[in-house]
Amino acid sequence: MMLIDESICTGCRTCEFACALQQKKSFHYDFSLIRIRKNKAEEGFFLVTVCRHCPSAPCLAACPVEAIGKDSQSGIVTIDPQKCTGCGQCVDACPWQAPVLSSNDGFANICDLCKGDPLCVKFCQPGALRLL
Amino acid sequence: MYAYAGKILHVDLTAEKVREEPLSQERVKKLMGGRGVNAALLFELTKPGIDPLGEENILLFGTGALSGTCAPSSGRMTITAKGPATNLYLKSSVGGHFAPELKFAGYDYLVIHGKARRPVYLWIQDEKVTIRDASHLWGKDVPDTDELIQEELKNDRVETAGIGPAGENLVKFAAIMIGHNSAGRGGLGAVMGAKKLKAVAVQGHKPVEVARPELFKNLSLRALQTLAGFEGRKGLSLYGTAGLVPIRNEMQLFPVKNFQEDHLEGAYQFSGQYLAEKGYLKNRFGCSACGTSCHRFTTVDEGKYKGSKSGGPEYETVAAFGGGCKVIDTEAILKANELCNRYGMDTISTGSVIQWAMECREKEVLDAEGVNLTWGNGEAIVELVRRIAFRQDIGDLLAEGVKRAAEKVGHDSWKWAIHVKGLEQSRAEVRARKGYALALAVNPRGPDHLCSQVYAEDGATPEARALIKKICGSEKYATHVMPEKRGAIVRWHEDCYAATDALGLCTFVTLSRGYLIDPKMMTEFYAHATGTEVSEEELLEVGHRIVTLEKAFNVREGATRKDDTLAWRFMNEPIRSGPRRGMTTPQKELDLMLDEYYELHGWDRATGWPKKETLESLGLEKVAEELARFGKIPR
Repeated sequence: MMLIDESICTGCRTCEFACALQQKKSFHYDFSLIRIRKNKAEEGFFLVTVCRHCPSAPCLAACPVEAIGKDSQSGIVTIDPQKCTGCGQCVDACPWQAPVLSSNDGFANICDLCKGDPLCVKFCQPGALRLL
Repeated sequence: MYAYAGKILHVDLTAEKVREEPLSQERVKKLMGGRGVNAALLFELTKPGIDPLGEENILLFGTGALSGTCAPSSGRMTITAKGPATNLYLKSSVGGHFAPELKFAGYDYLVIHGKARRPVYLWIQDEKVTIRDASHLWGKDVPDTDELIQEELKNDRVETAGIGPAGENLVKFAAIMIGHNSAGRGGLGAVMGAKKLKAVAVQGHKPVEVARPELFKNLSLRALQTLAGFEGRKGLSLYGTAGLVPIRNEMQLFPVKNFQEDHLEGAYQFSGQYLAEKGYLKNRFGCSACGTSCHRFTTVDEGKYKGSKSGGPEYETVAAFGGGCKVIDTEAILKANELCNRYGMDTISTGSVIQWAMECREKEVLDAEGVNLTWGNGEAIVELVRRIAFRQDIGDLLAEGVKRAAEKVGHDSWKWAIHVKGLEQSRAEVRARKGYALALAVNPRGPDHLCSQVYAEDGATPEARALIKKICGSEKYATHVMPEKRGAIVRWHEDCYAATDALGLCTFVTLSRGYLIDPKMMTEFYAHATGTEVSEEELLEVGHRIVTLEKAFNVREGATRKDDTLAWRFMNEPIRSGPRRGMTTPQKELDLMLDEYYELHGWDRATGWPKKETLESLGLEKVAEELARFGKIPR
């Protein structure tokens, strides 16, 4: 799973560009499955929103069409775009609201950990992102 | 078009008209991006002799060729205009996250023409441009303005470049702020204020495409490894630029008391280390794609300045307010920094003008009502920042900068007005460091290190010594106390600096904090981004062309060799103590360096004007014709 330390995120947004490059071979924040925002409640700090592939994964149970699964070996959570209806229940169920519901695609998208070697972690110099 | 958005946006505030111009391949080939295209447009679109605060001046925002990608530290933007302090060429480089967003909004360049009738701000979203009323924002400080704009546009992804009260009040060193980042030097904020332009807000959805995504990714990772492997960068990340204070102070190369002294007892109290140790540092900020994140976020949680919070302070800020004014009061310095960021004012010049005023008081030629201008008075610097931003009492005099203020005050005060061409100097000791002396004397915008930071001349690292050997033919030139070969050293750094700025990279990764992303790697980034191969020679030639264009602008404005000089103090008053006691950089030494520098440039020795054949060899024939029209081509 992904370990995030928001307190040391500097808001450089390199991870968003790395993810966009990985996902869509071009650069825009919208293509990224990790999102960095200013923390309005705590000035000077940032919020890091990304699927952490957490052990509890409440999104699985929340999905009405069983489109979300978790690999028993790798622990990676995936959403099947064929089954997903874009209802957004997974977003509500996720403590970080991590799934990205894009109006373009019509389905929810989450980080796939780059199949086990996440690029954002490689690009994160401050060390706010770590793979466990 | 790979890497580039492909368009220049022209906004005429007088006519309230908007026009697009394609970014031509020819421009890109000659000047690459950022600072380069800015310089060409400034030269082409203005006439000599215009008032920098008048309708005819233009204000250019230029993104780097690599901005909006994951190339490390690639989000820098250059803002260019004719400068109010110097009446000469002015560019300022700034970080933050504005450059990528301008590209996403559809434009590589934004050119502001004319002057609005009432305060306005620009809203640029996905190639749609609106000129919006800003009368409710006029007078507000920068952070409040940013927030109000986001609320009004119902969009929290908007990036803003704007001014505070200092720019509105035409302070000669008002800055344009991008969040906590400052395009500080020379008064660009005043240019914007004179145009009644409060802010430019941008947001967009057009992605930046690169020609070879996989290769670009691998190169970016390799660059990151190169950066991570350099020991000196850890200090930059941990302590920021102000982490340099202790070492500079220890070496007695830390200007104090308006350059009267070179060491300050207690300077540790405004170092980056101290700010981290004592808990003033709460977080670090990273500009676009920059994990080094040298920028600070500091707060004051107790005492007189409780509640103060801001980006910074940087080395130059603490060196100006702390060293320069002999103030050891950490919290007063943090407060002064915060106010400069809120009001939108350059901390280098603000600190400079205050220490000049303190020396005036020391020499009994100036006093301020209600402000005690003694050296070391922290309260005074905070109060003066306010008065300068709002042009109150002595603030009105100081807001004009040291050159004009000294002209008004008289009494030999010009002798300690540390400026060249009308711009205040950054904290570099130029009596001892000859390369810096030359670099500051010839910098087209005025005396600072941000045009050719010749950090290698100290020979402090193996890379530095290797570079000096490459440039000069021998490592024996890797010492800062000799004037020989400084021309060659400055020349190389100028070209590399300009190329860095054209690409949108931060010079902290290419030359001023380690020579890490070297010209070869820069060409690789450019090739993988755009699909166009360039050689190292071509890259540095682009840099050279940019530097020459900037010189041509100044020549057309009437600048000559006599403007490439140093402040009187450095040529006439020796260093008072320490290992470099007795040193000055006298005219004879400066002449030796200038002669070599002009020779290497192909500029006329007597005037400093670029020769016709020099301009032609760089493909600047039209520039040569224009200069000839004004009688500025050497016989």
